[in-house]
Amino acid sequence: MRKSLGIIVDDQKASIDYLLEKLAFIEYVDIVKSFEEPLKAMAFLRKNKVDFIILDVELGSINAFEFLASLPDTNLPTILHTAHQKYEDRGYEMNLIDVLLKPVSSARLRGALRRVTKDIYDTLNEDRSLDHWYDYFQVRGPARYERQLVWLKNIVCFESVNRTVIIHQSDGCDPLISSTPLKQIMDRLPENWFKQCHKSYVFNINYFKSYKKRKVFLSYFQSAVPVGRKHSYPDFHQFLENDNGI
Amino acid sequence: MRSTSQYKNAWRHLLYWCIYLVYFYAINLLGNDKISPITVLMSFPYFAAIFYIVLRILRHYFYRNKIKQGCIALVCFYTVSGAVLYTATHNSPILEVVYQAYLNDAYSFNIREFLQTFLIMHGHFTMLAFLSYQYQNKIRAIKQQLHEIRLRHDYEYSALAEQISPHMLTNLLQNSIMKLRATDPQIADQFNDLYGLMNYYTDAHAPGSAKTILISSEIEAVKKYIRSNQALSSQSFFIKWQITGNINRGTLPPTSLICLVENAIKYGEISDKECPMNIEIEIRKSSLYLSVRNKKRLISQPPFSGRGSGLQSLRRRLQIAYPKGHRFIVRNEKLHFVVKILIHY
Repeated sequence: MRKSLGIIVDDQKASIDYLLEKLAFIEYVDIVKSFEEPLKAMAFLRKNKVDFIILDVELGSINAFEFLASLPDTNLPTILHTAHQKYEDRGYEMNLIDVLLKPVSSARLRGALRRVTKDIYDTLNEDRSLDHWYDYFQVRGPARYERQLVWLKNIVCFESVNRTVIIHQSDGCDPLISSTPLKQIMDRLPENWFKQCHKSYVFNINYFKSYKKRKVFLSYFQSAVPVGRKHSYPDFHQFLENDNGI
Repeated sequence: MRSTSQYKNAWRHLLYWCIYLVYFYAINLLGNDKISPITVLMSFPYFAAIFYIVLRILRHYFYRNKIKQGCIALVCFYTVSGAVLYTATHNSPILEVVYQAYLNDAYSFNIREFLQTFLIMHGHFTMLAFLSYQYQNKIRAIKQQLHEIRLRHDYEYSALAEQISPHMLTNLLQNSIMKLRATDPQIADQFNDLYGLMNYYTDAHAPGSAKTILISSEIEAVKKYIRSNQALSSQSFFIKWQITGNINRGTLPPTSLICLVENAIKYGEISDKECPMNIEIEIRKSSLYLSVRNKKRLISQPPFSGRGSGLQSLRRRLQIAYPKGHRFIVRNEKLHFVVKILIHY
């Protein structure tokens, strides 16, 4: 199988070395070059083709968004590497595969690389643990929508209401309101841990309490979750038949 | 119960009415030297009624864009008020009491003069009510704008604050750790643990942070805490962990378990291999049980005990996070100190 070729762009050598150390153990991924200077990276990308780029958000004189906007191929699959738990949603299309929080764990890096191409997806095994899983959801902030980091292990369930998705968490805070459609969210969730039982509900099996009279009861969630028809949600019904062993 | 601002508002209205009545008296005195302050005061309820009823109609209907209903309400009010005015001005005993000095028995009703009186009184106070209504709307709009500006500033401030510290700190730490890894991997791991703990504490105590956290995250932080303290201590720590159930289900306030372990390290004896510190965690479907048991230090080995402020703070946090169902038990036994927490969720 052909290796997926990528580059790293970060103004800190220590960050680059850290990523290279983690990537050394991942097969079928090859970092052809790394850059501390964004301009040199731009020049390289104008002449060379790569499959993906791991890009730091703050690159000294410019930021990642300005860097991406200047590239000839604006559809280059990009993994953002940032220390921020939130960033402003630019509101325009960027081919962001994933956003990783510094310092990234090996498991989380593997999860991001699985999204680069289908070839890598089939090759890299999904991590069995939910510990390292997080995602940056587009949520309603105090002034505007922003991308906010949410740890998947804290999510009790997703509830779709009127073109928004409400993210209920177990941390006692108010639910988050996301403008991302439920289908799009589902595509990014590890299917071992999240099950859809109704067109409007996806829940984390860690918080499953009981199933009674076609309703699911979850910890930290007051309302009973309705259940759709068996043929529409076979995965969920399979989960029930397995005695929901966790 | 009325708030302070409502009292202040009432006093303000009273003051304005006093000023108006003085003005009304002065204006009428220029044309009629028989007018008395008592007459003016007795007229005040009618003036105030017109003002507040029209203002109420404006707020209740026109503010909510119910124009038609508002107009009907105004017409009804003016009709009733006109009837009251007519009744009062024609052979009314009330009028004789209040305006005795001005009554002319030979005077007959004149519709034009009546309408003139009616329009002067009602038009005057309707205009005042309308101006008051507009002024209040303006104040409300400005307050709303200020609130939005404040929210925007708060958002910009915290966004700016976030932009500075995490990136700089992360780069600095990462740089140091990578350099140390080549020369002293043990110190590099300690740095890593410290950085993780620092982030954990900062996130736990930041304004608006989560009230509860998964037990799995707390356990990870406690292990880092123990490793960091072990590195500082000349003695080995003996700790026995007993964890059952799904650690990705149960929650508790962040740094709760760290607080109990910290107490055990500071005031207890955890270097005795025969009697290790016992941390028991059981996660059930609807509850979490946690117990920390450690041997007490001998009296000859200070510090023997703390002031209990950490435990008091933890008790209060449990009350806030789980008001409906939790138990917090502290047992000071002869040889051991035990803390048990039971949380229902």
